[in-house]
Amino acid sequence: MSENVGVYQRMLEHAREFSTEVRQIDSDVNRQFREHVHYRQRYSIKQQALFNVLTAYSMYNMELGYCQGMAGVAGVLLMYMDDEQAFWALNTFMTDSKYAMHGLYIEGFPKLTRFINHHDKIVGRFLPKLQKHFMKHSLDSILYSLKWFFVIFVERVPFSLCLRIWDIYMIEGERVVVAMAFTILRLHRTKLLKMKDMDLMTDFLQTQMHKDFGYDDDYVIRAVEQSMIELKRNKMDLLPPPLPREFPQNPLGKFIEPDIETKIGRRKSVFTQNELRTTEAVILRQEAIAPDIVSNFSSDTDENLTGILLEDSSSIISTSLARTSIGSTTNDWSVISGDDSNGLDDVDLNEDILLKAANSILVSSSSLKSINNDDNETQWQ
Amino acid sequence: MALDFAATYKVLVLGDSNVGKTCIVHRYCDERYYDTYISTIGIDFKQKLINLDGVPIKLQIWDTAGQERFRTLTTAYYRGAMGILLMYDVTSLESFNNLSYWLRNIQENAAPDVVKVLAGNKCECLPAQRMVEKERGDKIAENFDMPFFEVSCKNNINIEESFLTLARQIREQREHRGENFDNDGMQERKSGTGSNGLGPFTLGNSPDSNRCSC
Repeated sequence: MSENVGVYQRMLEHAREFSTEVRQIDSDVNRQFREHVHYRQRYSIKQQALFNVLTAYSMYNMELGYCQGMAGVAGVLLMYMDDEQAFWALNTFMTDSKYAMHGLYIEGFPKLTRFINHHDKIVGRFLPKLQKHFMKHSLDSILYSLKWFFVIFVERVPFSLCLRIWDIYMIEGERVVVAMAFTILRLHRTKLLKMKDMDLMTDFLQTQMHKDFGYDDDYVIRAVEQSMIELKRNKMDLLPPPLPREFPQNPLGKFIEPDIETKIGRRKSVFTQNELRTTEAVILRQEAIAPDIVSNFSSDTDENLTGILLEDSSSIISTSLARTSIGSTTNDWSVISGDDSNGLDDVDLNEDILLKAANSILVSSSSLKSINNDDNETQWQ
Repeated sequence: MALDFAATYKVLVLGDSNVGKTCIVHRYCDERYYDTYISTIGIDFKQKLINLDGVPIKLQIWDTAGQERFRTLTTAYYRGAMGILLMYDVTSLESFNNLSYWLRNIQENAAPDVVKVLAGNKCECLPAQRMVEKERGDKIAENFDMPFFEVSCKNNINIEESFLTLARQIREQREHRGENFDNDGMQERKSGTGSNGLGPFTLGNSPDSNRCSC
């Protein structure tokens, strides 16, 4: 960890001088968690901290820079940490192979594509009726699931539930994200099937569910746990492997001179190959859900494959699974899914776990090979 | 199920980050102004049933993220758009200068006859904050043959007008298209312009669709 001493401060100084992302970051800080006491006031201490962490990180990981969505992630971290801790925790989220969010935010969003394709596969396999229903009403899963994957459910489910998922995310990594996405649809399947309009479904999944999830947090967490087991049994709990470019290609902390267009804030007129590929993939998705295609869509998905258990939400939690351990879960699991019968303690509990997990993140971030102090020195002078 | 609207018009809202795209959509659809907003990640969707000179129309409004990196996602939505509300912020010269980028992007990715309306938001600002004079907006609008409004989401100025103008232009353009035999409704359906879930553009018996099948 010693080699990281002073890095945050140095990046902050460089950001003041060179960052091309400051305006975007400033406008996003202005719009992030404004109902939270820390962020309510413009230029409050935490708003400044959020600005600092994001600008400093945009200098530390220049391949990534800043992408909208990162403000939400850093914003949550800063509710429980000071800015330097949040900076390193953010770095761990981006670069540690357990989270590898770098690939979510870089040009072309390769990891988002992996998440969404995998999610579609799960829905097709376990909830085929719902998938057909979505297709019939032309609801592309990108539309409802993007923020689930991009910012780990921030502003899509109630904050207390979101924190519970974050707790597990810190310990388990992306498996819980895959499982939660599936669980949301599983729990709300009947309700969604009754909605005969894309607008109703997007409004429910994007807005209403954030206000009121409809199930209490403990119940949802148990359902997520059950989903994780079920997905693992079917070997669908993990995403397909990442592309090499989903990880930073250059040493972190290395300064890359931005081109003139970036410096003056002009948009690039030419799309790169990576960008074109992503756009093409999204267009193909849209074609796949065009209504005339849907009517021919044969039911080759086997509805019986999985399980009646999954199609029947009432039986999800027939037995208490709260203490079932899953895979490599640590002893923290029992606390997370545990029997905190008093819902009012949720936030405190989460704070505890977040801090605990944050510490472990901080420790692991110090061991990241890619942090090479010598490199930084020469690059930054 | 009987449809109580005559047609669905798909509209895309484009422009730089923080010009007020989500704001104008909420102002129009929810008839409310929220002072603080969450930034749009990716693409959002809202719809509104409107009364367009006596004809009920469903406006599907697609609200996009403005940050450049998101163009890989948002560009895919250009193809099905029948109308585009292109926005800039009168207090940001950069957002105005980038209009040429947006217009070129529209030209390259949207249908050639897509209808455009230009809106310069935050016109309620103090004179000292204004970076783009109205005349400059007029000029670019004239060059690209699109109606132009200075709007204010905060003070509810010209919001309704912008969307109604867009809807009227879409209607006119569809009528025009209907007169043209080569571009009749069937062709349109096959070409897949209406993909992304809009299906056939005209549903029910709008006067437009009657004229189409001449």
